[in-house]
Amino acid sequence: MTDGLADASADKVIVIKSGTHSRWLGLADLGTYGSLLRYLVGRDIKGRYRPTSFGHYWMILRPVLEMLIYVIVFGYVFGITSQPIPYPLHVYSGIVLFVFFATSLSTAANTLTGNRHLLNKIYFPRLVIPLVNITVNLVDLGAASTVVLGLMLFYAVPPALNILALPLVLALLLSLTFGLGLCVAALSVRHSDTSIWLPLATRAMLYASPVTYPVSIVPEAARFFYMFNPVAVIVEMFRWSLFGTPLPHALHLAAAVVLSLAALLLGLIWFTRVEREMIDFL
Amino acid sequence: MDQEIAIEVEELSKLYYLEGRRPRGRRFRDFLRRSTARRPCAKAAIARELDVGHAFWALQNVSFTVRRGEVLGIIGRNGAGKSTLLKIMSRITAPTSGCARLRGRVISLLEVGTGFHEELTGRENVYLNGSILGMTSDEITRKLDAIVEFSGISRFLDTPVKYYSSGMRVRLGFSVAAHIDPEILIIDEVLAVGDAAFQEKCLGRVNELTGDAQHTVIFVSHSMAAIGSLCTRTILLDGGSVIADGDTGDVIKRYHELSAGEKGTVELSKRRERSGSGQLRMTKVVLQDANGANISYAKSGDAVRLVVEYDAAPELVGTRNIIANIVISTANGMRLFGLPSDILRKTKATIRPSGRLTCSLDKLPLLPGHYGLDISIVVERELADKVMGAAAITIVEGDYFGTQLLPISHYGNVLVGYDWNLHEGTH
Repeated sequence: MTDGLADASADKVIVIKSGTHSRWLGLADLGTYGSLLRYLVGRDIKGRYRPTSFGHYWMILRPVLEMLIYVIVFGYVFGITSQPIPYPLHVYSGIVLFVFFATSLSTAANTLTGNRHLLNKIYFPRLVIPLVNITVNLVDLGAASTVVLGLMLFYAVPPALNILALPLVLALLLSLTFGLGLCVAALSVRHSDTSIWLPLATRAMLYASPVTYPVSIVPEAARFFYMFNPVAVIVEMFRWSLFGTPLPHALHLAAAVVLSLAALLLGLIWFTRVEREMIDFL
Repeated sequence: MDQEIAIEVEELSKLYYLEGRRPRGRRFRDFLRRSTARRPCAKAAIARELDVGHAFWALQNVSFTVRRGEVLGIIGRNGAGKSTLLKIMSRITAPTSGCARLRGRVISLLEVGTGFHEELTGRENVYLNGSILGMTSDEITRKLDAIVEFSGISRFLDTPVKYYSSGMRVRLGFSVAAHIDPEILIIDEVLAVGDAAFQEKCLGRVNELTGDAQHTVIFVSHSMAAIGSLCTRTILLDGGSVIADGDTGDVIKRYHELSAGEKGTVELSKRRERSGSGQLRMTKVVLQDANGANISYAKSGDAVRLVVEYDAAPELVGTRNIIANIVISTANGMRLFGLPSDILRKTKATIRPSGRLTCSLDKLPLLPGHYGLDISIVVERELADKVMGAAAITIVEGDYFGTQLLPISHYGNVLVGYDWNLHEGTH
């Protein structure tokens, strides 16, 4: 096995200048840092739960407990129901995606300061840090998703054939979350206010999306505008692909796709603009 | 091949802002105001910030080139810009202006054990740290045994790093770093940690790397001994600019002159805090080498002279009983030893209207540091002049024992000649 990094840079000239941005947004450079990405993800996943008593069960326990809270508050106390799928399954399928979305954003705001000691001592494409962040959260999402299957078995909800489209739904979710995460990270470099307003914003997003309630509860007149929220569309698409519930209107689907891709592009451009001098501000 | 240029640095400058983390011009409201015309405004903003003292140049127009295989030392006082330069060359931060070109695989060791995770074991951290430094996992697996052996902590390899002592961390961290094979290696002061034996091991490894003329090394250190033994060429930074670039010996001399400040001559004639009759007054203290040339600092183990010049009242001129004494104290005032002349049975002096008294030391028995001199002169059993803290002398690393080693100051600052016999039996 030859040394990949040395090969890649054997005759490479590294030019260090002010204000130059990495070409191709630095994406080409990422390939040689694959093992770094892997080990940082491993470090975060292994290290995070190691001192706790429940260990990695927290990956599942947390969304389940969260679901129970909503089922008790909204389902039992307020009497919200969902058709045709049982309310706990409705809530859990939404929670799983939403927790991924919200946690990814809130950790994105702190991940640069959290890895300050690395950024301050070593060169690597700074994009590795948000990539590690999203990957760790994706692993959590995968673990938490197993409960969806359990609940489907429990409530005898058969999977729809639409499940084949699930990867597309996830790609959309990833693009939106990663893009917004990059924006949040770039913003947090110079504006430490970010970590203050961000939880409020994600809380607002929770109630602006059909996570704890069905779309049918939203007033008819407002529903057209409501569904321009890409998170709402993605959550509904997720349920469509798993349970065969109705798909949002094509216009809303298109809007969600455009917004998600725009977020990704904006995030990449913004992040690479600030990455070279970010350490001076962290 | 060996004339090939590995590193080119051209007019590198870096501006830092003192007040807060955010330059004023980058705040949201300013951004709105001037988003139309950015460039000229940015320049004006920099000038304004420099004027009011909110910004400063950590580096200014630094240029140099390094040939492949060369070992370049970078020295300078604290705040001279060494770390900033390394950070820019390691691509940790970007310069404000200027440009640097590095040819080949670059590894920079600004710290050992960067990214160690407390909860992970030593073994896991070797992989983590190795990949952070740019090794692939196959490469690490291949070198794992060598790394562990070099570190000497194989027993604790599967213990979480949080239970490691700081020394063990350093050992493991440096062992990983020592097994990377870069074309350009940038090292910052990392060798200053760990015990002496391990330090020697590290220096040996760096020497090994630099021996084959393929590896280009940039080495920053406060240890002139390490710089002197590793680097052929050295750059001296001060106030963000290169003020000397050349042969290591010469540049180290410049550095010492810089940190010693003035030449080693102290005027005493205008000094008011003094006691004694004043019939004889010291006018000057001069530090000289063995040949009588004035020097600004001395090395441990050097032959030096301390020359005290005086003016005497006319009635004192002639042969007189005298006791001259110099007491040497540490920078924090602890007396180390005195050099009274009468102990040598030198009690007669020829006093002239203007003259000098010279005290010679064959082998300066002091560790590197700053020392204070108290000087007194007694003529005919009467104190003529006494100045406490008359002068301060700067001692730098030298080869007192001929072994290129000096004890640490924890044992005390005074050096004496000694020997050990370590081979005898008791019967």
